[in-house]
Amino acid sequence: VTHALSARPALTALIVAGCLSQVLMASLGPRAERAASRSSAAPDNGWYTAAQAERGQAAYRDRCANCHGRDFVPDDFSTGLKGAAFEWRWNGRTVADLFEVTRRTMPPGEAGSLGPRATSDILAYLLQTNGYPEGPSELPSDAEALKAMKLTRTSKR
Amino acid sequence: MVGRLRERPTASPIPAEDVLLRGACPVAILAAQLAWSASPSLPQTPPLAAVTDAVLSAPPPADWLRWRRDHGATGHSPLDQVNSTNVHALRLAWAWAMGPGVQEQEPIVHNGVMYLLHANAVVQALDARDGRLLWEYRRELPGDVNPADTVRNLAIYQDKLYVTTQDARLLALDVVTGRVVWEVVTGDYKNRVNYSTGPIAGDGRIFAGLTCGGVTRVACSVGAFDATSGRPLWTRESVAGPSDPPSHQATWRGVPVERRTKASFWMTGSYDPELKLVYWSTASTQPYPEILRGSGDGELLYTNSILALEADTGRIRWFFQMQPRDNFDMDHQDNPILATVTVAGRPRKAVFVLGKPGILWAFDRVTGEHLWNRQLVSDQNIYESIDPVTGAMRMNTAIIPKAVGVTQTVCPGMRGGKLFQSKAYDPIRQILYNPVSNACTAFEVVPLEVSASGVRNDKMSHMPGSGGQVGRLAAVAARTGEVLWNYDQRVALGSVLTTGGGLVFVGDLDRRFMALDADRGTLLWQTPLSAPVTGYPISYAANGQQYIAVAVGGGTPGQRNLTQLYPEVKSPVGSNVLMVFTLARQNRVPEP
Repeated sequence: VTHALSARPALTALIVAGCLSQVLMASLGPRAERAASRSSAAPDNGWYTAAQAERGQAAYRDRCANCHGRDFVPDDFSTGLKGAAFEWRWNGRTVADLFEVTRRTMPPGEAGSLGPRATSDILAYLLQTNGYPEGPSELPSDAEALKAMKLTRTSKR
Repeated sequence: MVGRLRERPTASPIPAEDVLLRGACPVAILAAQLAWSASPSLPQTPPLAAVTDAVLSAPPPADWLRWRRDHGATGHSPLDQVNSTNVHALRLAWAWAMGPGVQEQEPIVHNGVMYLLHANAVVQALDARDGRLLWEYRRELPGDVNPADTVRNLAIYQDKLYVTTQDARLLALDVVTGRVVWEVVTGDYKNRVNYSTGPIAGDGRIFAGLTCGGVTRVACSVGAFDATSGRPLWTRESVAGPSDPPSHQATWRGVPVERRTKASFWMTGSYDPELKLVYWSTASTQPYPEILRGSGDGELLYTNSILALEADTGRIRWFFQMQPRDNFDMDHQDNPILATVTVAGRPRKAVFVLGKPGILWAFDRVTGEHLWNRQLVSDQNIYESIDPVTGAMRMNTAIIPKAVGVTQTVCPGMRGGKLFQSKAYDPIRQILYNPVSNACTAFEVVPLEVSASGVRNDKMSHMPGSGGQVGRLAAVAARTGEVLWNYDQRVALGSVLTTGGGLVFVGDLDRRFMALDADRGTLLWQTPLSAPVTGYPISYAANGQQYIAVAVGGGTPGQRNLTQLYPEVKSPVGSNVLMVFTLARQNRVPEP
């Protein structure tokens, strides 16, 4: 009993330390992640993973395809998201802009209902659709980290 | 431009060999029957009474027999059990979950049975008193139909129900069992020729209009079919072609026939069984900007027009083009309401039609003579003037795009004005109740490889003079075109039902369903529902009890686009439900 009693403060200290380190890691984590994603933001390294684009395709079909087209042939009222249509609107802007507009305005009538992860998954699918390379790291769901990713690719016509 | 008999454009009769080829279809039809046989049918409580031509011409007060109820597409029920003194006692009688998809449906009710079409080709027969399922038909649609499309309505005639589908089929179902009697293919849905709206029936024929995509290389058409066999009788294209008068073809300038496309029939027409004329309005052609279309200053007949078609041949008896030389996708898709009213001291058989520009037009439906027109939205910049006598519209040429890359605000925008929402007509008061949207669109002209439509038009803005009130219900005197009152609100409105109880029912695209006083436009009753009220409201009676029914859930992309004008409104979308209301006594728990 005495032993156990005397051990308690040590245990508490351990738990506190553990929590602290978690908090510390949590506060450092995004920054570290951000740095990592910046380095992978170079098109050569790929901007998203294949698995993420696959998740994105499922989410796209569920939430976006009704208007933007299952195979990117948009409805008359909607904007094309593939090839020249995508480039016309987005080239010269960043993935962060695309992320913000998607998060803020899509889907119409339910704007804001896409979570940050679903949004970045869908964007990964759009990037894949538009010929951006896949790589080892996921497209982050953090607008700050996406600012370095400039959309420039031009499809061959 | 108005056209008359003297220069009669022709319809295309179906060549005999085509009929024969299609006549070889019984095997396919039999196979279809086997494949699509309905679920085991339950005994149907009320006895079947055939929906004859006499019944369609004078529907029993309890029934709602076609899209917008009657041949004149009035959207009016004579039932008066629910009225201004008791409407406050309306309560939910029953509700029924509907399948997923775009929700803009209107049920039919005949003899105590409701025939309910869902998105994606599901048809159910329900006991209209409580929703008990009597039978259902489920079609397995191919995976590549356009998900943005939906089909809005059914037709009933004699002993059959008629269904159009997103994969371009016209089906006849046995009204008692839901089994497929015949099925015809009327277009290539893979080429974006399909149905997004339902048929109408009369005098042994079924009439149905196709919806066509912008890159399709065939003209869009409305067709007639033999109601008994499904045999195609005629088709009539929405655009002037080789069989039409040269002066009409010339309105396309250099545009070859195969590029006179889209111009869909995406809403349903009306029928005058005395004149034997079918009335159907047309939509716009693509690409929208004339600089990309190569049509110069051509008027583009018969886009954005109303056509009076001979029921037995499909020939155009007369037409009137409300908006010539369209550059902004100003579809005129509407329920053409037929009514007899006295205009300038003279009784007229009239037809009333509204389009995206938000102008309500009245024509003599025998001759096509223009009677009056009235702009219902708060502002516009599409036209300079409309001749008060002839109805000829002079376009605002300053706003017609001259170059790719130009962006400008167009009022009303491509969601209208008026989109899928449909008006109604109270024959006692002789008032038309029109749901319109005070909304403008930024049109950016883009190269065709960016968009086949030649425009990007996803940004909308509030209309000058609207004070940010997007939704407007305009009550207009049918005799004069005078606006009697406007009911304005923030959120856009859906479709309208009028009743013999002096009530106007309308839902909004948030989720409010309301009843207004038909004379004054004052709000008498409202209730929040589960989703945007995008279905077409109806009223019917079963067992002596009046019901009001409307489906909710959220509509086509065009409807959803409007939500950007009121971002503070958050409406749940996607869960489709039919809501049925009746006076409170129905809901009492029986005494033990």
